[in-house]
Amino acid sequence: MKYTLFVSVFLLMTCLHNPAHAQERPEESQLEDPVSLLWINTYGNIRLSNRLFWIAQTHFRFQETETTPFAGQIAQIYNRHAISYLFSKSFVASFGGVLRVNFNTSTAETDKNAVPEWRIWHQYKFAMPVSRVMIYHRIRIEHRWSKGFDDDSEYIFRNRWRYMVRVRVPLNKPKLGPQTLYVGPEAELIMQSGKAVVDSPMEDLRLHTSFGYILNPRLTLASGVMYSIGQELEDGAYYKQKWTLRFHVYFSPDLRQVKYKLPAIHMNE
Amino acid sequence: MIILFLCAMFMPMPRLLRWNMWLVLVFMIPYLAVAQEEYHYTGPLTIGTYQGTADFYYFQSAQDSLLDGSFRFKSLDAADLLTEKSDLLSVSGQFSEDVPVGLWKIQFGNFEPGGETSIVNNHYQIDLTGTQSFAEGRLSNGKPDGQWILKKERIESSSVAEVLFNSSIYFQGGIPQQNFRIENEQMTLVGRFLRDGLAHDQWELYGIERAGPIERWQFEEGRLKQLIIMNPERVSVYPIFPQKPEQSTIIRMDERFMELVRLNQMMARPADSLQTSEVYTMLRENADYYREMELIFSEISSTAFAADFRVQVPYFAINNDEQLQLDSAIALTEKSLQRIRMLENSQLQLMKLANKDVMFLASVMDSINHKYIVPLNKLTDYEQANILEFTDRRELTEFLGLAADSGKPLTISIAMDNEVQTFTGPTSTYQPEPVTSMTPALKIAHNSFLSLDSIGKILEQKLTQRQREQKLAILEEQLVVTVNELSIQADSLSAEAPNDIARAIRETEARAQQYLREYSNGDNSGNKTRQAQALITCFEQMSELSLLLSGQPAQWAEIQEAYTDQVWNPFTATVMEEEIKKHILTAYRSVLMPYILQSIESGLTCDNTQQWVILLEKVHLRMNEMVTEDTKRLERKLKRERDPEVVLELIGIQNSRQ
Repeated sequence: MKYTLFVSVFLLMTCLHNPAHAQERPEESQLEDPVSLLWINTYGNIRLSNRLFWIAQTHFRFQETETTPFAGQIAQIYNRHAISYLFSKSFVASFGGVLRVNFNTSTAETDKNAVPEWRIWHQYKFAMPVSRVMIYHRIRIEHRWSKGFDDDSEYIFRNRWRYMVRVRVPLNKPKLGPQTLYVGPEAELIMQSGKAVVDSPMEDLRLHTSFGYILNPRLTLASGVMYSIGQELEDGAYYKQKWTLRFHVYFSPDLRQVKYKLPAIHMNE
Repeated sequence: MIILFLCAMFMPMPRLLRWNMWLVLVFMIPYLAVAQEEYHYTGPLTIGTYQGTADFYYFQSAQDSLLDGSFRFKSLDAADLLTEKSDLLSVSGQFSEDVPVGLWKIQFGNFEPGGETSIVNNHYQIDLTGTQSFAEGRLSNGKPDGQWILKKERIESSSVAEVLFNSSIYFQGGIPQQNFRIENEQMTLVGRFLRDGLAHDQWELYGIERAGPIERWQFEEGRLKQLIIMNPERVSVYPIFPQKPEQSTIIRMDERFMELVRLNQMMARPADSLQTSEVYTMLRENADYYREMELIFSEISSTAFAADFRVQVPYFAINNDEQLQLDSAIALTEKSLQRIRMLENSQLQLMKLANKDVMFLASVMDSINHKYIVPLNKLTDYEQANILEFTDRRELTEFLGLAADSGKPLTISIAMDNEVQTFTGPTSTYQPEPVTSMTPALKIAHNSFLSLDSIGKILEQKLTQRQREQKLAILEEQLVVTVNELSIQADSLSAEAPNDIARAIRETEARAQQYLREYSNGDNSGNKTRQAQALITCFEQMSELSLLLSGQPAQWAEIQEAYTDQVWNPFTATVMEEEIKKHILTAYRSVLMPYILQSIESGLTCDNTQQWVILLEKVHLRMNEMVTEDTKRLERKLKRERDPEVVLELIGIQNSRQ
C-alpha cells in the first residue's frame, strides 16, 4: 500500500511536474508567471422547505492558451451539490459532494484528456450584519480524491481546509435588496493536507473583488477579478499565480408550495 | 257504584236474586237524593295578604263550596312574634249557606316584640307593641244588624295606650239607625239617623280641647239645610239646601255629596268658600275603616259591608238634549284648552315682547280663557264629579257667567299702550236646537273656540314664519362655519400633501367658496333653507373628500406594504422585500390615482363629491382585497391598460359617477 501510494505520488509529480522546476530545490521561493483564467460560475440555492436548501453549482473554468488569454481552453467543469440546513438567519451548514472534471491544460502528452475528481465537502457559513454591510465567514472542508491523466494514474487523497471572509457592501441602496448594486471583496485561504502534501500546505490564497447586481431576491449577477497565489503540490518552493476573470450567476428559486410561503414566514424574525 | 250495580242486575242470574237486588236499589233512593254532605276543614288558608290557619264547615252544592257553620281564621303564629314584626288577622263568625250571620269578630293589626319578657305561672310572656283594629257586631243575612263597634288602638307593652278611633253605629238590615258616635284622638262626632237611614236633626262635632261643638250639620229628613262652623273667632253659617226642593233623591254621603255641598255653598256665598269640613273628615275616616272590614269580608264571602249613610238632595233630571249639548260644550272646551296651551310656547312668549300684534292676540286668548274657558272647565269638572243632576243648571250657568249669550260674535277689548284694541271673533250662525239649560253655555263654548281657533291659526303662522327665519339664520351660520372649517382644513392638509394631492385638496376649498358666493348672490325667492341645507351637506362631503385625499399617501404606504413580500435570499443571508403584483400596483399608482386627482381638480361639483369619496374608498378596499386574490389573469390584462375606466371595470369597481 505504501509502495503504491509512493508510486502514485511520484507519477503525479512526474505528470504535473513543470519541467522548469524539476530541478534541484531552490534556496528561495519562486514565483511562477501568472496564468490567466476565466470562470463562469452558476450558484443555485434552491429552497426545498422552510429550512432545507439544495445547493447546485456548476462552474466552467477556462484557462489561457498561448494565443488566447483567459478563455483559451477548458480547464475544469465543476459540479457541486449539497443539502443546506438553515439553522438561523446567521448560520447555515451544508453537506454534499463534488464531481469535477479536470481537463489537461499542460502541453505534455497524456493518456487521457479529462479525468474526474471526487470530493465530499461540508461547509459552515456565518453571516454578520454590521450596519448596512454584510460580512460572511465561510469554513469549507473538502475531502478530495484526484488523479492524473495517465492510465496508470491512481487517486490520491487530500483534505482541503478553506476559510473565506467575504464582505458585501450595497452601493446604491441602504441595504441589500432588489435592484441593489454591491461590491463584494473577499479573501480565501485554502490549506491542504494529506500524504501527498509534503511541503505545500498552502494550496491557494484567493483575493477577489466582484461587483454584483441583485435583480430580485431570486437572481443576482456578479463579476470580478481574482488574484490567487499558492504552492505547487510537488514542490512547495514554487508559487503559482493566477489572475481570474469571474462571472457569476446566483439563483435561488423557491420550490415550496404557495400555501407554505404565505404569509411570509422566515427564520427567527 | 250505581253503574256497577245496574250492570250486575242485567247480567244473567237466578230470577229470585234479581228481584232482591231491585229491592235494594229502591231502598237506596233516599240516600242518593241527599247529596249535601257537610265537610269540616282545618288547615292553611290565605285571606288577602294574610296567611294563616282556618277552621270552618262547608258543603258542596253543584260546583260551589258553600260555607256553613262556624268560621275561624288566625294568621299569626305566636312564635314569629318572638323575633320580628308581624301582621295579625283574626276572624271568627258564622255562615249560613255562604251568607255571614250572627256575631262576628274581626281583629287585625301589626305587632312587634318590645319591652320586657317575663315568666308568669310557668308561662313565658313577651310584651308586644303596635296597633290593632277590631270590629265586632252582628250580621243578619250578610248585612250589619245591631250595634257595630269599630276600634283602632295603639298597644304599648301589651296594654292599650291610646284609642285612635272608635265608631259605634246601630244598624237594622244594613241601614244605620238611631244615634251614632264616631271618635278619634282629637274629636267626637255624634248624630242620628231616621229609620230609613237618612241623616236627621243635628250632627255635632266636639273637640277635646274646646267646650261646645266646633261644627254642626243641620239635617231635616236627610236634607242638609245648613252647615255651621264655629271657630273661636266667629261662627260661619253656610246654607246648603235651605228650601225643600220640588224633586229630590237619596244619595250616599260620600265625596260626590261633599262636592255638591261645596258647590251649593259657593253659589250661596261666593265670597266665603268652604274649604274643609271636619265632620266630613270624620265620616270619611269611618268609611275608610268600614272599607277595610269590607275588604276582609269580600275575601271570604260576597257580602257588602258598609256604613251606608244617606242624605236627600235636590234632583234635576238631565234630558237627552241637555246631555248632548253639555257633552258638546265639554268637547269644545277641551279643544279650546288645547289652543290656549300654545300660550306656554316659549317662542311665542318671546315673540310677544317683540311683536305688538302677537302681544294683542295672546292677550285676547288669555282674556277668553279667563272669561269663558275657565268657567266652562268648571262645568266640565262638575259633570265629571256627577253632581250636575243635583244642581239647578240655569242657576249654575248664571253663577259661572255662562248663561248670557248675546248672540253676536265674541268681542274682547284689550288696552295696550294707552290705546284700546278690540278683537271681534268670527261670526257664527250656530244655533243649537232645542234650547235647553245648556244652550247658552254651548254657544259660548262654540264662539270661544271659534275665536281661539282663529287666533291660534294666526299665531301658529307667525310662529312658523319666525321658526323658519330662525332656522335659516342658524343654517346660514352653520354654512359659513362649515366653509371656514373646510378652508382651514384644506390649507393645513394641502401644505403637507404631495403636489397632485394638494391641488385636489385646494380645489375642494375653491369650489366651496364659489358655491357660497353663488348662494349669497343668488335669487332669494327660492327655497333658501333647502339650498343652505344642501350646501352644508355638500361642504361636509367636500371636507370628507379633502380628508380622504390627504390620507392618500398613508394609504399608498399601506397598500405598498401589503403588496410587499418578504423573501429570504440565501446568498446574502438577508430578508429582502419584494413588490408583488406589480401591474396592479402600477395601474393604481400610474393610472387610477392620477385620473381621480385630475378629475377632482378639473370637475368637482356638489353633485359628484360624494361619488369621488365613494370611489376612493372602494378603490382602497379593492386594493386591499386583491393582495390575497388570485390575480394572474387580471395582471395580464392590466399590463398595458391605460384607460382608467377600463382599469376600474377590470378590478371590479362600478364607477357610480357614470
